[in-house]
Amino acid sequence: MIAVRTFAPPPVCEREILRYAGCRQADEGVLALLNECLVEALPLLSYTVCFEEIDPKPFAAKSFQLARNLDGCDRVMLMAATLGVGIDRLIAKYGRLSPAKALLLQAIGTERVEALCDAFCAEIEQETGLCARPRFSPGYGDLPLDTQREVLARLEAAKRLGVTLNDSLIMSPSKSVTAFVGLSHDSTQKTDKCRLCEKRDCMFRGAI
Amino acid sequence: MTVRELLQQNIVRLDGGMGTLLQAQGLQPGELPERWNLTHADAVTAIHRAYFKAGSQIVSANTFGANALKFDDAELDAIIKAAFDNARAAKTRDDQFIALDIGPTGKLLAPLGDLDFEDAIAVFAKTVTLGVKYGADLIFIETMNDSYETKAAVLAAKENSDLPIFVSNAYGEDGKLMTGASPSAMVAMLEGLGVDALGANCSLGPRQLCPVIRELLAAASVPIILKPNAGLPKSVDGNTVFDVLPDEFAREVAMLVHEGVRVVGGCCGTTPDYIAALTAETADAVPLTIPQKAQTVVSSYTHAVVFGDEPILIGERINPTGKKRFKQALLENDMDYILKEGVAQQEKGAHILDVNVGLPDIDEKEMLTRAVCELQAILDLPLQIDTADATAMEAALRRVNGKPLINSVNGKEESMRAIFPLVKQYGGVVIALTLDESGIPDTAEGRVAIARKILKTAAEYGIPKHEIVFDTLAMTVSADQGSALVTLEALKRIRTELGCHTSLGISNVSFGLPARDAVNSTFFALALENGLSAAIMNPYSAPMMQTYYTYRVLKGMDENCAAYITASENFAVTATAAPTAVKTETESRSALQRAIAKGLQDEAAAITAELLKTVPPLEIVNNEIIPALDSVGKGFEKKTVYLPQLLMSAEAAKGAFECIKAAMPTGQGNGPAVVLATVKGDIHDIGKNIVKLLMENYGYTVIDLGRDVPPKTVVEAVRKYNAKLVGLSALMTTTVPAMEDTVRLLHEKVPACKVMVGGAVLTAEYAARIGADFYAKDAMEGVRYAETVT
Repeated sequence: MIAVRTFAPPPVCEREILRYAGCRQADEGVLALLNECLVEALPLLSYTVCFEEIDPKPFAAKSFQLARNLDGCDRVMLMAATLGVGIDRLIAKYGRLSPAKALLLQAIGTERVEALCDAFCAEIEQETGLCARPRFSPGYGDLPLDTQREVLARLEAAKRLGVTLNDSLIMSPSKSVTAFVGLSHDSTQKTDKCRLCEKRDCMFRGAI
Repeated sequence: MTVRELLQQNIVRLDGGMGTLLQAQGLQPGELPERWNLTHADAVTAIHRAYFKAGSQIVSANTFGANALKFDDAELDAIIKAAFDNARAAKTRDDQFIALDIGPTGKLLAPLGDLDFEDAIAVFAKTVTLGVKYGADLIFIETMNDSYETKAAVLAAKENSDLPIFVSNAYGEDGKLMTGASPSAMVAMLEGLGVDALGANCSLGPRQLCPVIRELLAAASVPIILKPNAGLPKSVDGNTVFDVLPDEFAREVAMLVHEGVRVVGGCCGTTPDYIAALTAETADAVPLTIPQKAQTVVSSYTHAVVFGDEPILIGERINPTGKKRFKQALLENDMDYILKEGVAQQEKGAHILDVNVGLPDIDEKEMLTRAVCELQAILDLPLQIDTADATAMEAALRRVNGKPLINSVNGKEESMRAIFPLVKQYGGVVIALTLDESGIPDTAEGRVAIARKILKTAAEYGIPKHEIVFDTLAMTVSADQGSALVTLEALKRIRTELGCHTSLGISNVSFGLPARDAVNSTFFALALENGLSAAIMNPYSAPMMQTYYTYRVLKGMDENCAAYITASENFAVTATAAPTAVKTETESRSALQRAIAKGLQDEAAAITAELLKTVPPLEIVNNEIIPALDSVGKGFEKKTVYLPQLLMSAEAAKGAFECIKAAMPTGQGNGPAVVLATVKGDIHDIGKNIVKLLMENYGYTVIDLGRDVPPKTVVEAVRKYNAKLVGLSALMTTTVPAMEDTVRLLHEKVPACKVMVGGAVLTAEYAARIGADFYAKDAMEGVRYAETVT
């Protein structure tokens, strides 16, 4: 069955936010602006995930890389996570008024939704006693982005989370993530997600 | 008996879950339940029959997701026809009714999603038309989690049928819709639209929905619907089980019936057993009379604002009258300037924003609609639509996400004939000016008489008096010293004798006098004491805000004087605004450069204003602002300055430019035109906005076409503004083909114009392949390229 869970806000990692904002070195001004953005954004966020344990075969049949990611897993969860529309409105607002704030809010949203996914995976690891593989999302590698339609329909994400898809396959709210989470007894695949990733020209590679 | 008659005197029972039961009979995950109307007609009829047998007086046809986004025309027609055939086959009595069930489209409306409001109306309209054709007794719009989509569905229902409309929304655990609306905001909008019943369904069990239902009961004057889930889902041995059983469910729902709920049923997890238990539990329940609240209320997509004793502030600054800079913004299509005025007024404490964008040389209908859409995309205040053009008024009212104030109607026959039908169709509280064909009466008695006439005519249109707010017209007191007293007297009589709320455009009173704020704020205080409900005023005016906060303290409306004390910090700042330490011109020049480098926007603006007293505007631009920006830009290119810092500096420079723009004659100092757009299908605009900011800094006249822009629109803009450069942005691989189309069309139609492209998925090679003249890897590169081609 599809379950819906709400999480407590995970701790904020400012360094990660600045990384997403393309800022390797933050001066006082940037930090002050970041703080302003956090104060405004954090109260607007909800941290909700819906998920279901699935048989991954129909999905894995479409993608060699997903099949490899899930190879040898004992169980597979399909998940969708979202922060809700509040931050989208805020980003839209500052997109018009202050691109600097909009940039930082984008980065905050990205860091927050990733942290939510991490919190979900940690909880699932604890409940199952298994190790989670790096999350694998539609659009990664050779898994077509339009798999998103099936994933969201399967999880009834529109109804349960308010996550919908537009014609260009973008999710609304924008700070949403869907992913396959493979769970196995083998903990060796858990290590460095950058090393396992195929996108070798990624600007964030190795930065973690 | 009709549905409306049934609703009047009874507790009305709806049905329970459909999807749950179909799944039990083999409906697969991902399979569309509406197709079962055709493939499993008997199974669907059996479910309807079981609900009628259990005591449902209204069942919903199996049409929840039957819409044109999911099915083609032929299949949609067949499905809706079959759905009604199936439901009718289950009927045993004449007083059993069948609802056309309408759920969400599954897409989010723009601006949050990409479904256009009018397109959403068109989707719902198809379903409604078919429902009417195949015999629906009523339209049940349910499980909507977005106020805007709800409004689209209600308009489609109103415009394509005369059937009763029931509306039920899905509230989350926070007691709000997913897109933010509170129950009272929904009541305001839906009652304004004239629905027959409204309420809540799905998402939660009856106990968790209690607070939502109580808020609905407290605000609404129409019957309230409650159709909760059978509690919350749990997994037992891999099966989904809901945690509230029929008897408990029936007891909890019945408890809310005793509090006033009139229409009951069940949603996910409920079965005919639940409805049977509910029928038994509510058999003897006496329907409570629904108190008519007769509240004057407007709303935004989040909250309602109720007229009462607490004064309401309507910000007047979005209005070009007498504002050179605002006019210029309108003529240049500079929506950002208008949005800034909106946000600033909200920050100053306005409760409602007046929106007036009328100028002789612009298409008011288009501009007003756009202003409304853009304002409600970024701020959550109710809007007051202010136009003398009825066509523009209608277009804007349609698009408002909530229940607006309508500014205005007056006692002239022609005015009432134009405006009242709009109030009835779209909902809204209308400001009525006490003037008519013979002008503005110079006595209070005359103005009250016009008010009575307006009320009488409104009633003929079915508009009750609480939907009308009277403006007794503040006249210029310097021209006639008795005029303010007449206005106040009329105000008092309308509030006390007619029991209507009132508003005034305060600042008219001081026209022609020096130190106008002093006159305005005193008049404001007098008006409040004489029954003013809402003031159309300038929230930037410290004396006006002081009057507002002081009035609330003195009238016992401000507990512990808390709001006053908080606000008084700003009074103090205004009162003692320390003159900035006098600097020499040279000091100011270097201070401006430093402020820009450090990204201090307010400081940059203040220093610029100071410099403008002695230095010509263009000299400040060329000798201070541009060099400062250039040094930051070079730092960015050398990677000693990062993107957030670059943007902060650009914003500081923009603050300085705003001052300079205000000091220069209109149209002067405008650089070459550059057209920017995010391509068709793409809704990401942060990159484009960054480029825009920097280009403006470097003096270009940026024509920002926004996002999701069709190729044709780009070509038209290039021609209109004679632009030599277009910048296109696309974030996703899926929208690069649209970029390619746009580049091709530009090269074909306006070959002299260069095209630069940028965005996350692009590379220089890819840009060359789709025919672009230049690939800008970041905003600075875009500026450098622009310098070479314009």
